[in-house]
Amino acid sequence: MLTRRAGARGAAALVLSGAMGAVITGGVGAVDAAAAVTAQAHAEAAADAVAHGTAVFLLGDAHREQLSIAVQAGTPCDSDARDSPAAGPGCAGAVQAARQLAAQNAAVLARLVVGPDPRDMQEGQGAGRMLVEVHVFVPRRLPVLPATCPTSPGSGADLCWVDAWSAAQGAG
Amino acid sequence: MRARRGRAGQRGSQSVELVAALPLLGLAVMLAWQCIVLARQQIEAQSDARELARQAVLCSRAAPPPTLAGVDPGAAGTVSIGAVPGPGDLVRVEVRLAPESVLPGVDGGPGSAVAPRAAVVMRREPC
Repeated sequence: MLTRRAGARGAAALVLSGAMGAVITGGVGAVDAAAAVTAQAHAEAAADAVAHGTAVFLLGDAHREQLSIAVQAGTPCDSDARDSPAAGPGCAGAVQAARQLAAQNAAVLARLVVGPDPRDMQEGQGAGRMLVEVHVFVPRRLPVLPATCPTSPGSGADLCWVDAWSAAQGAG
Repeated sequence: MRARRGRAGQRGSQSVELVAALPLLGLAVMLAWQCIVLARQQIEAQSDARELARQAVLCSRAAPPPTLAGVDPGAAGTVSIGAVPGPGDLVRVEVRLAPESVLPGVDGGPGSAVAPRAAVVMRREPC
């Protein structure tokens, strides 16, 4: 008799523990999913702002023509490339402007590529419009152990950062 | 007789435990739902901030000053648009929405700590 009563109590405790565990796991999962979705929206907005802002910066930059001719000739203006300085001071200015705008939008610039606008890639065409491509990272707040996340993207668990890509062409 | 009474008491205590656990379970479900509602509003705030910033950086001759009602007619909240100090002609748009509450008796305006908010900084276009 005693054994049956103890068994029933044990089963009830087990069911209650299981139910509480499911509720806690579900709650943490819901918070994590919400954090992931909102961080992705933030990253996409930041990528758009950086691409647009860099394209606008280039429209008014004094070294714009030099940079345009350099990228049309095949010299890369890529924040990842080692020979980007060959594209001139316009490229360094664009990378700096993109980094500044990314920081203003609580994001980190992962890569910036400035290339020629395909509409102006014609025989005999001089300086023309440019195409800007950006890749940014935004930190994603983990509900569990956020302190384990690395301080910069690409140096640890991918769970800690979300990324987004965007591009902008010069108007005209 | 004693055994029967003991069994009935045991069933009774289990019922009491279940009744005590049900409100807690309901509260946990409501909290999860509230979290999802706030996340949806956060995405809405981000989208509104992006659209308002995109309009705010246009030449003022090209478009009238943007408003929250203009980009998201159903939204209730506040918008602040201002210049960012420093190099470059940057515009910062911050949107704070009034949080929707699914928990009875809990309500807050755009100034509350849990209010969904988003900020976007864009460069002003040549005019």
